[in-house]
Amino acid sequence: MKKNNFFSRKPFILLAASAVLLAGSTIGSTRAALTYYSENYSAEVEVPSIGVSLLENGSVVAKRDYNHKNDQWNTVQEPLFENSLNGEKLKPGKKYKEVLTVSNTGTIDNYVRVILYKSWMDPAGNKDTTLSPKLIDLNILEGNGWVIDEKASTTERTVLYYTGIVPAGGSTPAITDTLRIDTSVADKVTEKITADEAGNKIITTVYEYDGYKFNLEAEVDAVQTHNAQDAIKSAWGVDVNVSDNGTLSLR
Amino acid sequence: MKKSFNKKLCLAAAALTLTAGVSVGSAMAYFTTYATTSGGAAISLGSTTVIPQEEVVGMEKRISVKNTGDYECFVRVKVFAGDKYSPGLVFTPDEAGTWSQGDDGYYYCSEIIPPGGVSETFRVKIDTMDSEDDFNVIVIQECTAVLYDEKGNPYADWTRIADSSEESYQGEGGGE
Repeated sequence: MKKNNFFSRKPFILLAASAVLLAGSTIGSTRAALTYYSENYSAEVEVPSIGVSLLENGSVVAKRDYNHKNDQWNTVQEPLFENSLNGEKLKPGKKYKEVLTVSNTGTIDNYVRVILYKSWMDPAGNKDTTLSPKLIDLNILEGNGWVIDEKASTTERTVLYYTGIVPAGGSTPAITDTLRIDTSVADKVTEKITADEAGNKIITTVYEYDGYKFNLEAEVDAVQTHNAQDAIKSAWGVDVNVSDNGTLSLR
Repeated sequence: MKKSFNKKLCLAAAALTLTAGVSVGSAMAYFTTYATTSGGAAISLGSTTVIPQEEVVGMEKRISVKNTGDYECFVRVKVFAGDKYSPGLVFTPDEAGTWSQGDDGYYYCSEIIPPGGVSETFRVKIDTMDSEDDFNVIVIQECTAVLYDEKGNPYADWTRIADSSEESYQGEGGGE
């Protein structure tokens, strides 16, 4: 009977012990909080943000920067070639200044690539694939860090990678410098022959591509430099090698 | 039986959660961004039609050319008078000196003729070569589009051949 009493009290003893231990642990942490404190201070923590801009003749024409403060993307999109003509008509054969560069407008370093599309649109605004994009002579500069991905490029599309790291706030060398419409567009004509009252033969030459519009489209992509190989594979779907000094090369 | 079913359900739920977790991880792992823009300009070539304007004063033809098209052009003129009389044609340029005689028998105007514009007038004196026969002096004019060099300076290329075929221009290698 005595033995039975002991066993019936055992859970209460254990419960009491655990309560004491729990209370003790609470007091300890409370004491620590009371005896160890620091002065109030504030510090601004800069959260990394990615951003990239495309510049035409020194002016930003496309931009997309992430802003952590308001959790928004700051974007700019201005038309290309808007200010190149200075009010005059487009002159076939003339070289127009068309300097395209990429600027890192984020707060982290990045790798960049640019995809350029060239095409023609008829006067009604429909894309005309029968007229060669080669007549849109956009002079691409190589040997300054930009390389063409020949496998991914076509007559209409040119894919370029910048092999170096673009530091935050930095810019790449120029991708292109001039744009010229080949004079061959004026070769294609239809001729209408009529006669005036005196019987003279009059030949009217109508240029086939009158009113056609060349269209240039540019896309700039940026990706972080940390874990670059995987990041580029994930973001752009291409396999690259990255050397110890950060130089990127296509496989 | 019920216990076994619950176990499978728990395993399936766990697998789904893990899979979703892995997907979320890769999608959020890298900082990327992009920006796009586009633009262009239309080429204005219009059409060109030129007609000669002739006036016969004595034994002299006064010739100018009018651009009745809707786009600027360069013009040149050739005067035919037959083998007998051609050596007797004497060219006199306009006062401004915009017309000159080429080695190929054409008279070239160095000025661009705007739409609706008329060139300066030059003269061609006709020598009858002491002949009393009737003869015609025929004036033929041609025009070509104004082209521009790389610096934007206008020029005429009279060697260009107009392509009036039905095929589109594909350039070297063709388009895609």
